[in-house]
Amino acid sequence: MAERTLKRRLFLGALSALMWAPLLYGGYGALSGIRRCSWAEGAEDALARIGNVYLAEFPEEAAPGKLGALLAGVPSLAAGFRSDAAALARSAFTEACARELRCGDTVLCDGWLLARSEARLCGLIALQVAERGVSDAALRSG
Amino acid sequence: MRGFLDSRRVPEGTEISADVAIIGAGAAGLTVAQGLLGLGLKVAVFEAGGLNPRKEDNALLDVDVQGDEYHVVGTRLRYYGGTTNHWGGQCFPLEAKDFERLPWIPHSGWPYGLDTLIPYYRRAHEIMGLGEFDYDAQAASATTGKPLFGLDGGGAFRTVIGRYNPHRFGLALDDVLTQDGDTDVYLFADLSELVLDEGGNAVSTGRFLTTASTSFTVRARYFVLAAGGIENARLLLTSNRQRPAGLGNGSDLVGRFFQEHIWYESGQVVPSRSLDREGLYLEHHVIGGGRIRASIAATRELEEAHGLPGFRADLRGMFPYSLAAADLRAGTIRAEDMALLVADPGTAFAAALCGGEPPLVGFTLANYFQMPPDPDHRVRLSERRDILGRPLPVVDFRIGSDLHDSLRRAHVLLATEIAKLGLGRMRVELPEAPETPLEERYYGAHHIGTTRMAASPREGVVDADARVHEVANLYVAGSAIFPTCGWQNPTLTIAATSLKLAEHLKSVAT
Repeated sequence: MAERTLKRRLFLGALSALMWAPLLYGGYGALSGIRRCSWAEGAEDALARIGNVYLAEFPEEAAPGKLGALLAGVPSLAAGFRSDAAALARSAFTEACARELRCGDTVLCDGWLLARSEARLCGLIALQVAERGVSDAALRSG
Repeated sequence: MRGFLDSRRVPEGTEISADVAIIGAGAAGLTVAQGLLGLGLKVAVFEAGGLNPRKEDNALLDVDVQGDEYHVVGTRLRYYGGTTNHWGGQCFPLEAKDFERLPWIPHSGWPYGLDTLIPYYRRAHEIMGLGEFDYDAQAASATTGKPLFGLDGGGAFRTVIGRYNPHRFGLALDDVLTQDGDTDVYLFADLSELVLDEGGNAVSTGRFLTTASTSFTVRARYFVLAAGGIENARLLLTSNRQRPAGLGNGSDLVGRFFQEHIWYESGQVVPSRSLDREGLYLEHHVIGGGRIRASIAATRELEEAHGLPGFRADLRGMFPYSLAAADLRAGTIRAEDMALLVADPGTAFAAALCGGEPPLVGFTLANYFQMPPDPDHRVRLSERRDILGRPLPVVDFRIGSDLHDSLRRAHVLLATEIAKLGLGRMRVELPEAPETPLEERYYGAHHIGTTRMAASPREGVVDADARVHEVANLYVAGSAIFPTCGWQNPTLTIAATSLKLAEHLKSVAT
């Protein structure tokens, strides 16, 4: 898979995630005295945390190329990927997730019940965050 | 006006006579007494405590606990009015299916249906100041203009309406009962045992003790045990002078099938649309002359399909800054939470300084879960005795992994439904197969099922009239007679079944 295609998919995936990221972001702000999650962490970190749980459960998918291919293989998502319009990508993602939820293609990640594609998207974000962390460390070390 | 009578001043050996003797002055006993007012029947109500809680009486509330840890303190109040002196006032009637023999709930089924109780529910509503007997969620939504969450119509979950009024049964009735020429209320009267007549078919007398080391007897045509789900069973078991197994215990059912409501705070829901912080589920609204609030419950279809006990979730708003703001005000904020405030200082400090309106981002779930009837969950007698020489009750039950699994399954189903209907996302917070099931559980402080009602003496202690099968003139009132409890808080049904008992007593005693 060409690096450019992968980046595009990561970009579109992250874009789609914005649609529902606030939901998860809100969820991690659960402020009961018992479970003080890190409210200060950003939406991306929250999604990456879920993604890491998914990747731990499905280690065979823990590669950007593999996850990108799996997401691109979802029919309505594939149509979204062919478009340059963010709105279309979001709509395609919503449709794909709705279909998966209807037919029970769901996973529990860190307790959140998600459509399979949502979880995979979190997995992609987790990989992205991890890669950026490695790059930042490399930059800092010289 | 006679006022309240202090049993400690009743001369030793006195025999008190009444048409109906009611043991216990909580929601059940006082409602029976209220139902008997104005009939010309001489009614005597016996309360073990006084008009206020007394620390020195706490030893008489002692209970041995075996099996799971269970804190009984506070679930029983030993003074006039009983636990309705501190209850929250949450009321739901049972539903039609709760009276049925449900294949997925062993030992379920009442000897009558919802229709039988409806008139008593209506009357109980009047007594308890609950407003109209109307639990229609759609109507509540239309009247308040507050939308339903969106689960209704999906077939799996629905909105249920609760009504709220912490009616103080004692305070509401003290003038009425103490000024009624036919009713006497005795305080500080501890029932020691019920004694059968010579024929062995009916109770002739009740023997009472007091903390002043005195005793007296009560002779009545009818006796009503209304002392709570633990105490009723204990008193039947200790009344073993003529029947060694205790009264009504020919089928070894007295004390068995003890049930509670499991209360478990778990689950976060982040809805896909902004929440109205004064929504139907998060705030009380006054309609039909009473306060209401909505909760979420499973449908019968879902319970049946997945073998679930009754399940209800009350919603609590999640305010992202409110907790940290409260900590800030109290000067106890933790370093990591300071970052939370710094992240959005405007909103956070508005909340901290002015008690402003923090945004509402979602809600957590407070789950009410039915404990299905199990004959091995029971109240029995201890080897230990209280200061009056009576055997203490033992409460013995264990929560198994099946209940944990059921609640987790209900949460996964709810999370699935919320996601499927596009309502948001839910976090299931119950671990899979934990070492300790429902580890952080609380209980509803409801003692249910220990003198269960059934048409046959082989299946229950009391019959449909709440009369002990084996004793002609002995009745039980309260949630002890409920064969099952659903997810509903029991007080409204306690009042309704007590009014039904009062009507029965009226028919046989007048």
